[in-house]
Amino acid sequence: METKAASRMLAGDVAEGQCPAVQSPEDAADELLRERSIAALPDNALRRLLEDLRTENVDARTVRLARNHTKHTKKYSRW
Amino acid sequence: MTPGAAGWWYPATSPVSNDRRPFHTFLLKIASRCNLDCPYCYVYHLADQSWQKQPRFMEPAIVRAAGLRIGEYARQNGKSSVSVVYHGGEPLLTGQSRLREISDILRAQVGSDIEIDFGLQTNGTLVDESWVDLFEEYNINVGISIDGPPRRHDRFRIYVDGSGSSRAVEAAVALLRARPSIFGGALCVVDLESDPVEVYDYLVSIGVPGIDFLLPDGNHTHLPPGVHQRADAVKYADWLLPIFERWYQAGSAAPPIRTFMSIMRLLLGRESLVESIGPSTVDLVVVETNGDIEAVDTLKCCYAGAAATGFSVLRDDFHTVESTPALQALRLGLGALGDECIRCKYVRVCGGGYQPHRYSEDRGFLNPSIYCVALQRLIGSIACRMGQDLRAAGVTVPSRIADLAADHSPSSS
Repeated sequence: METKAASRMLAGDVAEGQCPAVQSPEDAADELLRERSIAALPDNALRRLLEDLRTENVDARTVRLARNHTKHTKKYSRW
Repeated sequence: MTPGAAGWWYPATSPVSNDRRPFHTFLLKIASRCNLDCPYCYVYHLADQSWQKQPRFMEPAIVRAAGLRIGEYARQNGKSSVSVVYHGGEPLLTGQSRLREISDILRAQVGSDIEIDFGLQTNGTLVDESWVDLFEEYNINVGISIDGPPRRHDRFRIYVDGSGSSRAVEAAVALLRARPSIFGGALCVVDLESDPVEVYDYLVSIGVPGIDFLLPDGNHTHLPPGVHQRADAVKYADWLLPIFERWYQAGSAAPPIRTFMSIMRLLLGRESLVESIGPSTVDLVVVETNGDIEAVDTLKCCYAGAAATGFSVLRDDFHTVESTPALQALRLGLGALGDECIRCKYVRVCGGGYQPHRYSEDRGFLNPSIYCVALQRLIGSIACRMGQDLRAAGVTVPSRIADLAADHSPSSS
């Protein structure tokens, strides 16, 4: 799913400031990741998560592909 | 129905998975014994007693074979890095010289073209300054098991003589806290009889950098503590939600809690951070102390042999294991679930819960999680909290969040 969102950003389908129809969680997340959406939230776990996801997208864009090249999270290590 | 038969691990009608996501995490049981005797442990006190036949420590020949297989497998799958997690039993029982030897062998056998991210899960009782130096030298990311403040921790995390381990564990946390680059976080098993906020506040106060709360291993045949019928499991959500609320409001001041973060990520259409929740496939495989290759180790809470595959690093490569039923089920994702789960609106977030928690002796793994009602309440309440804040910020609430929040209140207890 990160791949899809990041790929769309790479392709420039979702430009900053546009508001796509909210159909899927991925699309919705794109809208939420806009800076102004995040800034409107108080300092809570949701804001922190959205900031992290925004960074993940930027990282994904930097390395050109999300799934295979982003640093593997510690997903299934017990830590 | 018999274990392993069609329709045991996943519906007989499910197509064979073509998911080629390769294994990434290789969990090595480098010690099969433990110096603690926690009554809830899936290794020693639940359905599978195979630990008794395991050698005490992983011999160099097994480590060499495992390293060679890992390297071959990574290369064949185009991977530039893998994760190796030292596990047990208690992995520090190996001693420092043996752990150095294991790490050196693995690095040599896996090959310099494949990066190894080392991790280790310990009960903390043997950690001292020299161990922490070793972790730092080998860049081993350490997780520690701790169940709360001493009087809570010492209820279950006990030595064979019944005495508690909290004092040693607190000392270990203090040592690890001074080396933030190698301190991953704390795993805490939920005890319904403890005060959740007291447990959480304690973990924050001792400075662990991350927390995960684990539901006690159990299933429809071996019921978890406090659960006599499925509906009782909601108590686990009621225990976790006060922590969620406190953690959520603390924002950037609070350590990450992976289960909560995973639910929030899944509600936003992202992937989970943990193996126990979410519909994505699992990329973990276990190497037992004697070299046997096994599925998720916590399956040992289901029945004797549940995690076994019949393969060994001494004879077989990791590709061979991918198609065994237990691991195939994990690669099927939602395709492995029974009808009740597939029809449920929560399934894209819970993913059916943790595989071992779905087991019953009459239907295998085609059940919802024994924690189903707890997961629903937890997910719904978290969705509700997120939806409230998004609305207040004037942001469109994603449909998945709105749907799952509908029947809940933020702290619905």
